[in-house]
Amino acid sequence: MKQSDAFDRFDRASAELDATRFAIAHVVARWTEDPRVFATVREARVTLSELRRAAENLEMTFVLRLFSEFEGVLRDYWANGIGKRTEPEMRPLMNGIAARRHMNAGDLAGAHEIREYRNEIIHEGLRTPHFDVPECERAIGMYVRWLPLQW
Amino acid sequence: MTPTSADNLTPLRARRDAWLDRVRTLVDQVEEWAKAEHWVPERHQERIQEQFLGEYEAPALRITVPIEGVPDGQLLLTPIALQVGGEQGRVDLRAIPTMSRVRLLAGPDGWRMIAGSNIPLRLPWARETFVQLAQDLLS
Repeated sequence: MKQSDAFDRFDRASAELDATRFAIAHVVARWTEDPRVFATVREARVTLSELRRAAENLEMTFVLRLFSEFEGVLRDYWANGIGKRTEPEMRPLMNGIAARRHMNAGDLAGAHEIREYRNEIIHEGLRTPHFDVPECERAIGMYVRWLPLQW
Repeated sequence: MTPTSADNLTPLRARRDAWLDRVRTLVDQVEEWAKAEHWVPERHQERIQEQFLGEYEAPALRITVPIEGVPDGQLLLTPIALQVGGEQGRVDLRAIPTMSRVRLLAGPDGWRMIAGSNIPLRLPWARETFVQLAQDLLS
């Protein structure tokens, strides 16, 4: 895998977020104005409040997606770049890779903040975003820059 | 007389060719600006698939920007599509590792810059703007 492939994955996910954000906003805005939109959405048995909730939670949902791409990249590097056969949890995995790559402490700490944020979303049902999407992308990118260009 | 399918394709091909010329000029310009900053630009081709236009290749740029004490930064100038609602083409400028990005939208008066959340950057597309933007995207 190339490091640039990892960044491309993150970027594609981000473009999908923009597209989804636009699509939901478009439907919600036209819900009351355009009967065709109303009819189409009603056929799908989706309610306006569900759409609004999806819009509200979209960014936090995206953080989970982004983090899962990040985890995929790290596990690929762990197995194919370092040749490890173990499957550590995410925190020791991140620490182990950071130590091998002589990562600076700030970049490691930044990525851990996003890991903890992701855990809060999953395990504690967090409903108020603590980080925006660009902050999450940046923290993950700053970690991944320490990986080799290819492994 | 009913136009043939070849007749229908001609205006689309002309639009695509004009778009590719525009992208080529942009890539040439940014390459020159990057070299003047002693950054390292590398050209490559991006494959683009668009409805009615089919699959085609457009020039793109990867610029390596040395940053002291940490792995190099990179700027990617990537053509995205000609058919972007109400615009005459979109090229993205994004930075690695920060993942910050700006969209360049082609219009009749040149390139317009749009930052995240659709905020227009009301600055002329010029060398000074590019250099400042590049540094901001990477910082």
